[in-house]
Amino acid sequence: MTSIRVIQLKKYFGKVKAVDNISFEVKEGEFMALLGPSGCGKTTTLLTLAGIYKPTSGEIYFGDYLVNDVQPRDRNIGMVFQSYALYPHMSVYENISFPLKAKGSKKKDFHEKVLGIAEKLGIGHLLDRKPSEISGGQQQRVALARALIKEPQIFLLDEPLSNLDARLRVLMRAEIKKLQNDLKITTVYVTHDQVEALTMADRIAVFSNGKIMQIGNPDEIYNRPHNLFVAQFIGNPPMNFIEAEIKEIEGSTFATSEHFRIRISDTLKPYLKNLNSPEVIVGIRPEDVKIYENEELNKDLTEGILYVIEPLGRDEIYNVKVGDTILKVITEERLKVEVGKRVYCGFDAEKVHIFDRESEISIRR
Amino acid sequence: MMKEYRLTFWQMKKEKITKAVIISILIVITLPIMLTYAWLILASFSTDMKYGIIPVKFTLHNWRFLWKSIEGYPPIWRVFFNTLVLALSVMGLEVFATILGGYALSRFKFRLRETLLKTVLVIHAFPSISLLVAIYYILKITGLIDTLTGVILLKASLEIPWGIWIMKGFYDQIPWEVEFAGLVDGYSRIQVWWKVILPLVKPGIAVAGIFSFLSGWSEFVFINTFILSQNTWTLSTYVKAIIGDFRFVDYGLLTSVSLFYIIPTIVFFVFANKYLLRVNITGTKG
Repeated sequence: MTSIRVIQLKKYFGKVKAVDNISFEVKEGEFMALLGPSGCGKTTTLLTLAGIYKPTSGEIYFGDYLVNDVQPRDRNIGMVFQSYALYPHMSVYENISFPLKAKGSKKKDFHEKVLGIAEKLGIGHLLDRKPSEISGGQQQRVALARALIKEPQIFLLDEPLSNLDARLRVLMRAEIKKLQNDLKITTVYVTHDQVEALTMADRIAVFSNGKIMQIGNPDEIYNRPHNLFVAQFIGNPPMNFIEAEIKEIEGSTFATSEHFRIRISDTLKPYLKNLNSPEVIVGIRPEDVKIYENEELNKDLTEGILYVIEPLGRDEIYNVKVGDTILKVITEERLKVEVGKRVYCGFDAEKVHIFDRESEISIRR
Repeated sequence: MMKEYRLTFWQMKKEKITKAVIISILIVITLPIMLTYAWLILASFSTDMKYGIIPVKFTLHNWRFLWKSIEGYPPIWRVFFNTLVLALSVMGLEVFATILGGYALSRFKFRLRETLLKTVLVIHAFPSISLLVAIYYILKITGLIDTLTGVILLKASLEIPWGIWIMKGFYDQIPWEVEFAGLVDGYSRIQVWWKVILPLVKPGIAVAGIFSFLSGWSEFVFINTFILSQNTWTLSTYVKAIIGDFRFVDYGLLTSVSLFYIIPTIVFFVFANKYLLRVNITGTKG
């Protein structure tokens, strides 16, 4: 068990800045997710942690040790790859025991251990098979067993679930989290799937274009995005965005545009001083908008036309057209309004996010 | 009532007819080659050939070279041994050089890599016969003229560029992640290459090995040019000597020696079939 400290890490491939000056820390036993769209540098970061890529500049510490120049084999890490990268010419047993053989252990010493971990991961009956003779989910478990058998101090996973079908993915998500929880092993988990990051990780680092956009626990990432990128990237259906201007009307503060008038709550008001200009982008999550069938008094409602309804089983997504903007609203309630009819949207003023239009940074940062 | 589809004769028999046509064309094309081999086999076991094509009487007389020396020629088993040494050495050198060279060209990024790859191809396309004079001087200076070692080195160096391309193609297909996994699992790069990567390019090694063995086995030009003493003859020079014999051409002997010369090739192909098919499917990428 050890902590990881990354300080001003840069990794360039020629002129391409794959990782551009990032710093973060993973505490002992913590589960950290690196989340971002493909090509954002998260896998490069992971491979640099593994020692496969050498940093262009910057420092990586495992505990108190600077490991920049330490070979991958001496870093005591376990790694799971997206393609699993099992050795096709070896049996499952040989695959799992391969890391132990590197240390010169004899079969009689590690035999029990291999059987133990195979049993724990439910692949005990497959030990004689070749990787090509078992299913994707089973290959995944073999890869996990191979990564964990030498009891590494750091566990690195590179999109381990993205090659599995949807049902298996949900299953393995919980299993990997349980495994990590049982072993209390410092883990870095690369994914492009926000659900994986939000459900599994203790903390998330959101990547974009080789930079870290925000680091925080899932609650912070979801409820207090630091900038427009994180706000756009996290959440499904995604957050609604409205270009507006901050104005004082009759003693209250509003973000207004041609069709919208959104009240700024008292908690948000003090942060408005962070703005460079009154030009803002207002963000509101689909679940923080409420639809009313009739105009009610004393509410700052926005009028729109019901455009399309997307049923999701438990929830429904209502698409409301306001001017040229389509607002997505998700709710468990069932409205009795037909498509094409007039509806009224109310925004939860406490849940409104305001970003500077120029810098795209949240005022609450 | 079910509607009946009326088919013309052509529509019903189309597939069979096409197949028959294709097969007949193939037979016509391959017939000359097949007949040559048939003639070779029959002639080698016959005392004489009536009209040059019909075997007369079964005999093993033509195969006498296997157990007794033919006057004016070196003993066949020494010649056979020389050929084998040549073929195996070329194979050994080529496999050794290509498994390393192919890996380097597939995995390492270095300056002039592209240029090197192209040069290698061009060198291979060079007709080696145009180099004979230059090679003669080199062999003379190094004292390797009239030695099997000289021909082995020469042959191997001309075969290696092509082999490197073949091996590179096989290495290219192995995902980086497998190599990364080996590094993370506690092995050095060399160990990963030896324990993980090499076993995965076995078909490539087989292909490079087989082709270099066969090219060594069938080498004629260099042997004929640079080998003078009978002690270092190989089977190709042996056959050539029989054809060019100033006394008279013993066709019976010629056919049986030729057949003897072909046998290893056929045996090799039978065993190597599956690997040779692999190279067609996988191909090689630049």
